[in-house]
Amino acid sequence: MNPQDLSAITVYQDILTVLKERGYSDMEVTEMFVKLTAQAEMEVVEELMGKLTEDQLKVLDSMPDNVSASEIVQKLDIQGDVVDSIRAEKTAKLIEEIIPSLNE
Amino acid sequence: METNPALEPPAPKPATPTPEYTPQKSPQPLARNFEQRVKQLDIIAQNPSDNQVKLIADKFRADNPDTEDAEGMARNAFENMGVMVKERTEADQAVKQARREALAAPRDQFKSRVEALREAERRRSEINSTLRNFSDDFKDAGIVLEGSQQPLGLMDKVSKKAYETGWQMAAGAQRVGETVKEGAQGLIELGRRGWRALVSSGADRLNQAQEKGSNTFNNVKAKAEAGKSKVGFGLGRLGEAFRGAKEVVGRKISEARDAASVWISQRRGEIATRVGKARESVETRLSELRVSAGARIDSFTRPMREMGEAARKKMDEVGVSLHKFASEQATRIDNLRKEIGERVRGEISMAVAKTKIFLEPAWESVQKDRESIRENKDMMMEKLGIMVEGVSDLASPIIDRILDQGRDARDAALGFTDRHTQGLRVFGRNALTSISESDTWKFMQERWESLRLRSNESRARLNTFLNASLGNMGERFKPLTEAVSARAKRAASLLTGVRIENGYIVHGDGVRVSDEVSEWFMQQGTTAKEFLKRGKEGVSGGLDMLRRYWEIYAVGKWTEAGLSGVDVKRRLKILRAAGAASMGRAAHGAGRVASLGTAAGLEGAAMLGSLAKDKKGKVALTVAALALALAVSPELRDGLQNMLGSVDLSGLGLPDFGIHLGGAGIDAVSPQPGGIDIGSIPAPDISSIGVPDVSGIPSIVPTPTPDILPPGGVSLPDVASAVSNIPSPDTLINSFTPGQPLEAQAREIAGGVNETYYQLLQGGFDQFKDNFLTTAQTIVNNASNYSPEQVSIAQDQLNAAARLDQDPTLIQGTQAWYDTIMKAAHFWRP
Repeated sequence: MNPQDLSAITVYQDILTVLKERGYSDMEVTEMFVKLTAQAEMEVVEELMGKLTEDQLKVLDSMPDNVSASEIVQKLDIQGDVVDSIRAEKTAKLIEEIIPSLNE
Repeated sequence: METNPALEPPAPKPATPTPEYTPQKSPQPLARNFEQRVKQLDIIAQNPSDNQVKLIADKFRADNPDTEDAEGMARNAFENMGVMVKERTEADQAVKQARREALAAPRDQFKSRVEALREAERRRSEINSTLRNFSDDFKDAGIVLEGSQQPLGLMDKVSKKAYETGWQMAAGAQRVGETVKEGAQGLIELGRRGWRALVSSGADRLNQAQEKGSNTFNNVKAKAEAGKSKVGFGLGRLGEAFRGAKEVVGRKISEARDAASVWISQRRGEIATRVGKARESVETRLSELRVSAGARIDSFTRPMREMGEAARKKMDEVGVSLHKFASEQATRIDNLRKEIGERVRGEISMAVAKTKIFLEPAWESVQKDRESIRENKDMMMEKLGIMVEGVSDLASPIIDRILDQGRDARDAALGFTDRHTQGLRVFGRNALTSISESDTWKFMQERWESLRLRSNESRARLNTFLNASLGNMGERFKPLTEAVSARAKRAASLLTGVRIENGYIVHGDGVRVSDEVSEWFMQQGTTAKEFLKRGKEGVSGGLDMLRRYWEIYAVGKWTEAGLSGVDVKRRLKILRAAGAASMGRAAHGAGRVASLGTAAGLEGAAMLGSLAKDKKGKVALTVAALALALAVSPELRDGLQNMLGSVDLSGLGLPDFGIHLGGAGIDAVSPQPGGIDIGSIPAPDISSIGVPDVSGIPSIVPTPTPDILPPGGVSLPDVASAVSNIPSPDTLINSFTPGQPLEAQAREIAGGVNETYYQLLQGGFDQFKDNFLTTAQTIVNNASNYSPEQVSIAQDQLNAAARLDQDPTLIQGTQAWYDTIMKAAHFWRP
């Protein structure tokens, strides 16, 4: 966790607060929260998928469906800081796109 | 001897006009009382006598011996006096008018009206002071109110009447007297004639004449006497009437005095009662307001404070900066309360000031008029009545106003939560003037402004909002979708989609993914728990739910985008791995959070401000951050729980992941049925499988109606009894009892509808395929021994078996495959 992550906590809280102040209900805010975060996470997945080599794909496919997440991380050598930076980038873009909507 | 004296008729008396009654009033010195003196001077100024003019002229000359036309100046002085008295009356009226306006002034004009009142009062006192100097000069000059200038009193009027009546009577008496004189004259004439007759006619005629004359005289005399007595009687009656009138008038005056004093004391009581009541009512109301405003402020701030306190506790680990943020929120609330407290106090003092303004002049007036009440009771009675009416009339609207303002203040104190938007609006209107400059007020205004937007509008804006953000995301997905569509076609022989089944995510091939999802959840939950050691247990539950939602949502979107089963599987694995990778780091780094936060010196409000200003500001959002967001946002957590609860309400049920976490915090996952507006709660759309329409990903997806296997008519297997470790289907196929229904056996052996169940269906059919085919064929061949329905089913069975061999699109686990195999495995004999 880095200072940016920490700031994200605050920013996220504030975005939610702003949304509420704009008249959105708790339920609606929650909906946006999960959809936007899911969206960000899906984009992270696409980015990671694009980075996988053919060999890594084979490894991935060969793993049983009930493989543990940590095993995937280990076998594909997925770096946490890489994931974090991708997520940071995606989230930043997403938030950038949210801001104009917030300011409308 | 004179025998024929000439008779001279009495000369006619000219009619004497009734003289004017002028009461002999002694000159009256100018009054010491200023008001009285002004009245006297006003009368004199209207028609000053020569003597009065001379007195003033003398004074002018005394002041300056060279004065020319001192008389003309004196007349001017009297004229000016009249003008000044008039101006004074006007100034007085202006004060009254200003007072009325001040009393009726709305709050925003109140101050200026009071200033106007003071100005009017100043003007009046200025004129009064000038007038006083002038009137002193007049008094010094020796001016007195001359008798003719004094108004006629009641007794004057009665005296005048009596004077006139007496005069007329006296005139009558004079006329009677003259008649008597005429009679005597006639008598003399007769006597003279009688004497001549005596001379000529004898003594009888004389005697006769004498007697007649004597009679006539007597008559006339009697007449005169009678007339005299009549006048006397008239005068007596007049006196009597006069005395009676005097008595009656005196009595009337006494009665009037008594009535007046009773009436006045009654009215005084009424005024006091009225004012007392008003004051009491105002005080009661204000103290109520104080109490209720305090209580309501408290009820507002307490939860806020508690929230702040709770947040602060959680924030302790995160860093001083967030702590500072929470403290600032608390300070804001404190400031807010202070502002409102001052506002309420302001309202109270304004109410008191207004009460004073309308009461003081009234009582001053009562005091001032007390003297003259004795003298002018009639007038004062009326005056007091008017005053009482005036006070009552004035008091009611003022009291109402005070109460209104009190209400405003109270509303202001109550109405600034989002549940009291209306109250906040009232506050915004009323409190604007005095605290509009304060930051707190601006903050409140902004809040109010945003709260003004109603929730029914927000739904439309929500769609716009999500379309704006997610629509673009969809665009970003387009190339991806195009790229995968070719692969998707190739992979179409494998899968047709992913479903939710009884709360589990099931791949198209029927394999349930719950175990690894559970494991993944466990990781996230454990990490979150680790991360927020002192946080509420609900955090991990909320995080768990969030993950679940993500997976359902993502799988739905991927399927919708036309991704093949393999692609979906891969992405699901990567989605979990990405979370695990981040969360592992987050967990390890949790201990450093506080120090990092302190070093970063972050502050929530500042961050939001800079974010709003700099749209390019890069902001990172980690899973750990989300976890914390959930931790400090109970309503978010509740909302998520409700949202997933609605999924449960649709009959899907949710797996209990708590067992994997040893119950740590995951108990909170259990959905809350009931009371949830499903229609307004989105849930992932995992039912639509087919050609993707990426351009318009629906922002609000409907509550899912998942494609549930097995199809209708077949009872649902008991999912709860599912076990994760079961032997290979190959070994289990030997457990089948030939001839018994295949589906029921497969379900029993597999322990429910799961991957094994589907494998057993396929494997069992393959194992006993010959039995199925020969049995069906036998029925068809011996159709006469069976019912037409049975024959038809057997024929379908043969067709279905052939299709299973030939049709490559029948993928295990799909609906079509299931339908076909159920037909193919119908009749069989051991």
